[in-house]
Parts: sequence; C-alpha cells; structure tokens
Amino acid sequence: MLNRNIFFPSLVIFLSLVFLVLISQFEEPRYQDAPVGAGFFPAVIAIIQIIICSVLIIQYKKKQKPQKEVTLISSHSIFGFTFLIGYAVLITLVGYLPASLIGFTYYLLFYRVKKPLYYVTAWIFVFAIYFLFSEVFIISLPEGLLFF
Amino acid sequence: MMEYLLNGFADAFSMAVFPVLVLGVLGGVILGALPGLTATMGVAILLPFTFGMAPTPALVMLIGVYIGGIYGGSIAAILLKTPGTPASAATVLDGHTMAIKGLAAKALSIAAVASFIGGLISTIVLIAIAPILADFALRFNAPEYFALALFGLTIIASVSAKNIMKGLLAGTIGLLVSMVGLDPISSVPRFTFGILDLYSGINIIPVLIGLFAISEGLNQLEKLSSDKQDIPPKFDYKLLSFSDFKKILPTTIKSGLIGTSIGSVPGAGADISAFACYNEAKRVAKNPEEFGNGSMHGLAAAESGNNGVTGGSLVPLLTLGVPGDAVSAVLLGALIVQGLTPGPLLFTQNPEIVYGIFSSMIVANIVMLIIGFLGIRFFCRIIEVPKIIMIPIIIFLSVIGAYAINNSMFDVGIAITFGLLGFILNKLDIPSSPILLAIILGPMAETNLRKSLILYEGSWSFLYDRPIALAFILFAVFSVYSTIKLKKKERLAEEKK
Repeated sequence: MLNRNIFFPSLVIFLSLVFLVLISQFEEPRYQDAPVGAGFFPAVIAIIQIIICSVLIIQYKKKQKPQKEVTLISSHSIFGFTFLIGYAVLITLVGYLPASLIGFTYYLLFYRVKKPLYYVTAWIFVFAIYFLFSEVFIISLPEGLLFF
Repeated sequence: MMEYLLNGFADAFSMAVFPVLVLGVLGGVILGALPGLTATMGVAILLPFTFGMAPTPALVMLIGVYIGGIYGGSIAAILLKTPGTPASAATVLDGHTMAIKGLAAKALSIAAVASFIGGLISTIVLIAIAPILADFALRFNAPEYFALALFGLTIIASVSAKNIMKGLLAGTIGLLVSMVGLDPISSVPRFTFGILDLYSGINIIPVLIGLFAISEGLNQLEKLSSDKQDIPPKFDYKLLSFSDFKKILPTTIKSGLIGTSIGSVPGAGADISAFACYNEAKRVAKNPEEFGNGSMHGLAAAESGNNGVTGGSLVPLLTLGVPGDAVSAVLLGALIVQGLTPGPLLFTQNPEIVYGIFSSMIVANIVMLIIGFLGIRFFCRIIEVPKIIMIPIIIFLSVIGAYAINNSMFDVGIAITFGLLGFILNKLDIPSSPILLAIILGPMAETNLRKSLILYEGSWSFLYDRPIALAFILFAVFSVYSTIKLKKKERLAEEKK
C-alpha cells in the first residue's frame, strides 16, 4: 500500500519539476527591461517546494514510527465527491431550483432519512435561498443550459 | 471638530439616518455570515440603492454594511468552520474549536465584543490621527509593500499547527496558485493552459469557499458514518464573563491598534490584519500552545484585528482619495456618486459629511454589538441543526456563493477543486490557512519585489537602505525566529508529557 507521507511529497516534487519545465517555456515579452522575468518567482517557489518536500520525506524516514493508517478516502467521502460534482453538473444543466430540489431530496433518500420534517426543511431552504438571492439581493442564480 | 462630531451624532440618531444605519448593520451581519458573500460584495450590492438617497444616510448605510459584514463573517467561521468572509479565516482557528468544546455562545460574544472594541478604536484613531497616518502610508513604495508582504508571509510559520514544513508546503502551493494568470509586470500568461477564465487569475473567494466550506462539508459527511446517532452537540449559553473580558482586553486593544495601522496602508485589508494580529497575540502569549485549541486571546485578536481595519482603511480614502481595501474602493465610488471628491479638501468643503461618517461609525459599532449579543441565541441554534441537514446546506451555500461572485460556473469548479484539495490536505495534516494567506500576499510580494528591482536597476539594496522596508524585514526575521523557538518549546513540552 502507498504511504501517504512519502507519496504526497513525491507527487509535489514531480509536479514542481513539471512546473519548472512549463516555466522555461513562458513567452518572452518583446521588450524586457526588468532584471527578473515572469518566470523568476514561480521558479523560486517550485525549487523551494522541492526542498520542502525532500525535507518532509527525510523527516518521515528518520522518525518513522508505527502509525495507525487511517483510510484516506472512505465510501462516504466518495459519495460526497460525486454528489458535489453531480450537483454542479445538474445546476449547469437545469438551473438552481430544480437541481437543488433534486439534489437535496436524493441526498436525504441516500441516507434513508424518514422524517418528513427534514424533507420539508430542505425544500424550504432551497426556496428561501432562491428568494433571498434573486428577489432581495438581485443576484441571478444559474438558470441552466436546458431552460436558457 | 467637536461641534461637527456632536452634529454628526445628532444626525446619526435622526429618523432619516438611524433606521438606515440599523438596516445596514443587520444586512451586513446577514451577508457576512453567508459564505461567499463578503462585506465588499454587500457594499457593492447595496450601492445602487443609495443613488437616490442624501449623502449622509447613503454613506452611513454602506459603512453599516461594511462594519456588520466584517463581524458577520465570524458567525459562520465560529459555528460552521466556514469563514463568511476572507477576513474571518483567522477566526476559524480558535473560534470554531471553542464552538466544538461547547462554548459557541462564549465565542460569539467574544467575537462581538472584540469586533466592537476593534471597530471603536479604529474609529477613534481615524478621527484623531487620520492625517498623520495617511502621511505615513504615503511614504510606502514598492520596497515597503514587498517588505510588508514578506512580513505577512512569515505568519504562515505561526499558523502551521505542529509541523512548520507542512505549513510552508501549503504556503508554496498558495503562492503558485496566486501566480496563475497574466504576469502583473509583463502580461505574460502563466499556467493558463489556454483557458480564458484563467487569464485574470484565480479568484480568492471560490478558493476560500472550497478550502474551508466544501472541505468541511466533506469532512462532516465522513464523520456522519461514524456518528450513528445524530446527537446534537452540548453547549451552554454562557456569555463572556467580566473576568474573561478583563483578560482579553489588552490583546483586543493592541489588535485593534495593529488592525487600524494595517488598514491605513493601502492594499492591506482585513484578512491580512486578522492573521497579523493573531500571530502577534500568539507571539506574546503566556500559553501560546492554547492558540489553535480554542484560545480566547486568539479569537479576540483576530476579530479585533479585522474590525480594526474598518476605520483604518478610511484614513487614506478620506484624506488622500486612495482606497485602503476593496470595500473602501466601493465607498470611493459611493462618494463620487454623491458628488463628493475624497481627499484633503473633503475635510474643509464638506466637514459635516466627514464627521457625520465618523459619528455614524461609532453608532454603527454600538448597533453591531447589540445585534451581536441579541442574536447569539438565534445564531447558536444553527449548531443544533442536525448534521444530516447541515452538510448539504453548507455544500449548497458554498456552490451558490462561489457562483454568485461573478455569475460563473468556472468559479464553482474552482471551489470544488479546492474543496477536494482541502479535504485531502486535511487528511495529510497539512493546514489550509497558509494557502489562503499566500494567495492574498503572493501577488503583493511578487509585484512589489519586481517593481523594486526595476526601480533599483537590478540591485537588491532596497532591502536595507529604506528604513520602513528594513523595519518590516527585521520584524519578519524576528517573527520566524520566535515561531521556531516557540514550536521547539511546544515540542519539548509535549515530549515531557
């Protein structure tokens, strides 16, 4: 199994190296009288990042104690990710009101909530936010590609 | 001056102004408490409503929203670990921990009192030494701004919980994020990958919503599986006692003064001030290990510090016509709409308006304190809402908040991305606050460093031959040194245990 204390810093080191390659490909302005260019600051940060991650890996290797591994991502967090992304997709397609009503109801059904009060609260919340934003603050909420 | 001030108070309590002021503060508190809706946004939203109003009530209402909005951000920060505004990101560190420990009412009352004191000090300073402070801020040039940003970045070490290296790693992630978009000096696109939305950079609000609100929603969702029974958290309605008040008073006053000074420097807003005050309070605290674990001093410092900016930011606005932060930039627009020109002449040509604003700010702070205390019982009910309902509410509000800033689904995508990143970083014990701090300070540091280098033709001598810049750099070195010493002490104490 991958050790997160080694894997994450290694991933950041790899990404920093990718950034350094990208930085070297930054466009050059036609006229440049500045002593340092657009790539200076990001390059310094990427190098610092590599140093920090190397220190983190060494630190971990040095005092490696048997640690209780906690699962990084549980089934509930996977549901959370997909719910979040699903809601964002739905809101883009059908707009705030239908997406939120469907999303909230689906979420309560997924967790097998039986109390009708929770469903009523959810729907009132969705309508209250709609009223607050669109009528009081005059901020338009997503209308959805399908109804636009 | 006294005559104008007294007339200003009479105006503030008149039937034409007082209801508008109360509405403004109340509206600000509500807006600030909603994630994604910042004080800046609140003032901007209400700006068109003031077009038909007389100058004094119009400006008083907007200032009321500003003061209420900065305080309102702390409510969601304390109760939901979701800072309503970037200014209350530092409030989360101790405020939410207090709420978890069952001290939500106490935390909210500390926030209200500290915000009130910070705001009041700020207003008094604004009245007394506005021109002197503005003159000091006028001496700031690129090297001073760079040094100030550098000093701000050293705060990362202090908010890094147990492992400074992990905090620094988070800080570098934030700095890289802040570099997305067109380079501020040469307009070269950086890390944009041809995506047009990225050319203007990554907006801080969706990042904030993602890192604090969405990741918290995901964390709570995970905990939901372990909490089989949804037991409402236990807490009492005990407010801040007089003895506690005496304890936090020195920290609060000091933070209010620091906040006012930071606010008077154009470009440095309430978010930077809150972190700077928090860091300073931790540095001088007898028990710094309490910071991050529900320290009253930490909460009071952050809240007094961010509200201290409210008066400070008006110093350069009213005396020089230079806005101190985003909100005062909107207020500048409001002044112009009312036919007033901010600057030194405003004091001589329209003293009744200037002192009317000053008096109303004092009244607005009192109104904010009253609303804060009256609302505590109501606000605390939020914590009693079952988690199963609260989690989707947080997620929905976050998505809507991220969308509402620019009416852009791209910002929603940014918020979700940072939500996932914050969730994963939390699992790796990497703190999220340094990312935010670095995103705020990164552009300020980079732009001013490069401007300084152009100014000094490639020489780095500006770091030591400009007294104010040198002072900030020395503060930065001292801040890092004291933090490392402090962490060492904490580690030794922990090992002894």
